Amino acid sequence: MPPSPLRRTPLLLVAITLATACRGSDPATTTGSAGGTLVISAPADADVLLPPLTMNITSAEVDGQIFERLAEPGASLNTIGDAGWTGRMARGWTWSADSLSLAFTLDSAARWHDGAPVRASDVRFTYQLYTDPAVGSPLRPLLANIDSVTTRDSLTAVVWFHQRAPEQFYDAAYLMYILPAHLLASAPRDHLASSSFARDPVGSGPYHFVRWTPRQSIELAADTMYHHGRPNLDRLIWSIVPDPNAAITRVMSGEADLVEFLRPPDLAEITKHADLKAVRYPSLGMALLLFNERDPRHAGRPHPIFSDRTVRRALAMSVDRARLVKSVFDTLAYVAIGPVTHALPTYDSTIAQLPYSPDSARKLLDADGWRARGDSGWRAKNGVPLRFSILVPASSTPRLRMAVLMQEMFRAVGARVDLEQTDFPTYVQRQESRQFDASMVAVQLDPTPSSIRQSWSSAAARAKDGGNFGSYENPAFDAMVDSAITRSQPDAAHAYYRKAYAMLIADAPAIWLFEPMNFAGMQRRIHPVSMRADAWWAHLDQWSIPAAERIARDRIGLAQAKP
Amino acid sequence: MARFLARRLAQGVVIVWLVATATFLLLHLAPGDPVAASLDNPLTPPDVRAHWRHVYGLDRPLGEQYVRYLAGVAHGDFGFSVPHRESVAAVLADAVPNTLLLMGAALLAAFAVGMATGVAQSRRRGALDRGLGFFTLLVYSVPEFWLALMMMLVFAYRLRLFPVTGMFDPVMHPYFGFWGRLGDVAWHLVLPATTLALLGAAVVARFQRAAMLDVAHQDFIRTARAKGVPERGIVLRHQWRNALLPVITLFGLALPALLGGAVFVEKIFAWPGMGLLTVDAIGTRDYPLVTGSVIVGSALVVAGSLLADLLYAAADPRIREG
Repeated sequence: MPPSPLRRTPLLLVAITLATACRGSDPATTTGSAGGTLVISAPADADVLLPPLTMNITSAEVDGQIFERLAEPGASLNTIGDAGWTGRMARGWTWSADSLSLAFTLDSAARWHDGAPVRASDVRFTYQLYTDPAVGSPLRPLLANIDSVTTRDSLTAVVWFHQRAPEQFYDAAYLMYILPAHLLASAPRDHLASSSFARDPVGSGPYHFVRWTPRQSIELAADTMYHHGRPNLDRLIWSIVPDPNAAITRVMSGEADLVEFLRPPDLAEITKHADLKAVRYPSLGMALLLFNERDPRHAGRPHPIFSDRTVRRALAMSVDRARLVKSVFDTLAYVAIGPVTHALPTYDSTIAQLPYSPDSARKLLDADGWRARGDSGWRAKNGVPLRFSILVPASSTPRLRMAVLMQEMFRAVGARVDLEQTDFPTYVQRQESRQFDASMVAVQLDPTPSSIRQSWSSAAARAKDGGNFGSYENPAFDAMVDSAITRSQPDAAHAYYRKAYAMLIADAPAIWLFEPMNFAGMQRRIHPVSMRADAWWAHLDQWSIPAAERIARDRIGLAQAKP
Repeated sequence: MARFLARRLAQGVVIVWLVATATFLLLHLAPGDPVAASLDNPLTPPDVRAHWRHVYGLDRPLGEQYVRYLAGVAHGDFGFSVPHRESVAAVLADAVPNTLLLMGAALLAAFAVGMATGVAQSRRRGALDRGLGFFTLLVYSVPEFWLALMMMLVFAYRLRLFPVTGMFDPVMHPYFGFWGRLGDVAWHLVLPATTLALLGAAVVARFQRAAMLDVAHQDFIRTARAKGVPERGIVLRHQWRNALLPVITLFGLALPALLGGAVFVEKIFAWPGMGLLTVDAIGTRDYPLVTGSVIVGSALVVAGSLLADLLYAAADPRIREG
């Protein structure tokens, strides 16, 4: 039985005792719901703490505490209309009669962490910043339906749209974190990432920035004047631990409180510790085997194997996905049903799936002219062997294991498969340049189902550098997605999305493999509230550590550290 | 001596330039670039990618990029790290002292322990020699990452004597005074430095033992003993000093070896040094940072080699006097 994490080393105990003794007692931080330090074991350092330019997950987690959106979605992640959304920086909103503008009324109590009041002009400035080509924000194209942002008065920002669209509210409220105009207006737009603000940000969120020691830690402290009320935890610290084994060891030894993603072996280990718990939360992640329908060796030509819908369907039917998932994850992942996860409102477990049936797969291939030859049983058609490679990033063990198992399943129907393992940048480059036959892809879906266009539409297939890397094209699918996107009633839109999913699954441009169950590992004294699929950290300000369960580091309070 | 030093320095500059050039070319020949790696999102439109490639000069011909890079380095500008969003010089300025601290401590401990072990083995040719020989061989044959994980498991996780990872306590460090902070860093240094030092000490001990035994039967040792020099004086002033040359050679080689070993140790113990930085930079195709790290690394190796030459001269009057 490992020792309790409450057993601290003598040096730390002495240090904490001295620190708290020097500061004196602080009832506000040691009793009631407020108080506590959450140390998060993070896999990578932040890149930049400026939301328009944030690229990595640690930055997104920190940004989400320092900055605020106008409103936040509910747990259902509805993105059509404003049902389920609650105001964050905005106290409320009103739609214009023609639905071409949306007026957000800001909370008059909202303040920047430097004390300046939040104003509607900050919202206008934020929109201008996100859409300025010189800034180079990857979010800019997603804001294309917003025409402009104006101010009606100091607390009312009006967002004007080019056209009515069901996801107007999502575009205006979710995509932008509001930034302080008075601190960023004079910063050169083309060098924002290297500005001092990006390393020492000032926001209006529940936590204010304290310090960032590159590749070591990032510390935030509770903003006691936060307009939605003081956050429960005093302090949030992201401690950077790149090695996953070390990250979990830090939590098990009590040095850290939370690791956001547990691998299956970690989960088994966590359950052996009485003072730790695994908390499951919804996920937007999934993995698939993507077929390239264009020939990687001759740009513009159809792929000699995967341009044939019958072959794709046969290969999909030859894969026992339930066995794959069970073999690699045991019970810790779902079989993916299509381009959607359980967390999205468009999920529907009744959507028809291609059955696992190697016999049917063989018959389909026979009928399509792919005949087995010789003793080996490998198939060929018109001199073209049924042989292809699967591109796998060497960094992903689950995908690698699945590819090996699939290799055997494809062999059983006469398809010969080679595995190509590459490092991650090479994998990205090969995928973007469409230099692959089939690729093991892991994706983190967008909260909005309309993002399916970026991955599967004909337009994205034809666009140079578009996101439809497999070049799947089906005008009927495009039309169905267009119908879904223009429906303003969630139920009607969801029905169209489900029909689009069914078309996609029937065409088999990919084999959807698994949807991992996300588990965070944390100390039992940490009491989380609902963890959202798109951002588990969305409600961190409401997490708590009951006074009776606090340990030494929870009692530091909000005393200022030495410079 | 001055001419010798000047010649070695000039050779060092050429070596660093060759290594930097080879690194620059090989990295640019590999698939991917920093923008592709850091904007790995299908929703990022082509014009945004093109914008960043233009901003960072990645759309220019390779030759022009190389000339611009060399010109920058000549002026002390190692370029801009896209993933870190700051200058390479600033990133390296953070990392190099951490690596020097780790390597300095590890080198010191490795040579102190290794030399003492080697001397002890050569003096006590019985069970102690066999036991230490077995132990040093065992440590030498263990992979760095495994030893690091075991050190962490035993001393940090089970015994709770030392912290698991990091260079300081992220919660308490800011509240410490100067000595407290120093102690905190030293406390965090113990496991990574010991891991590296154990590996180094195993090699040093084997070299030192062999060199001591070689010297033990030389005529001057027999003469000293015949003249009645105390045994302690014979070992320290005659035998050990003459057995130093192979160990000094090893010192020059230990620097690059430690830099290589530090990659695993830094990753496992989350020590924010150059090894970890360079591996991450290779993964993200951060060309300027990799090349900058290689320049600094090769400069350290050249400096280590130069230091070994100076130590040779100090230990052997024949070299000093030409």
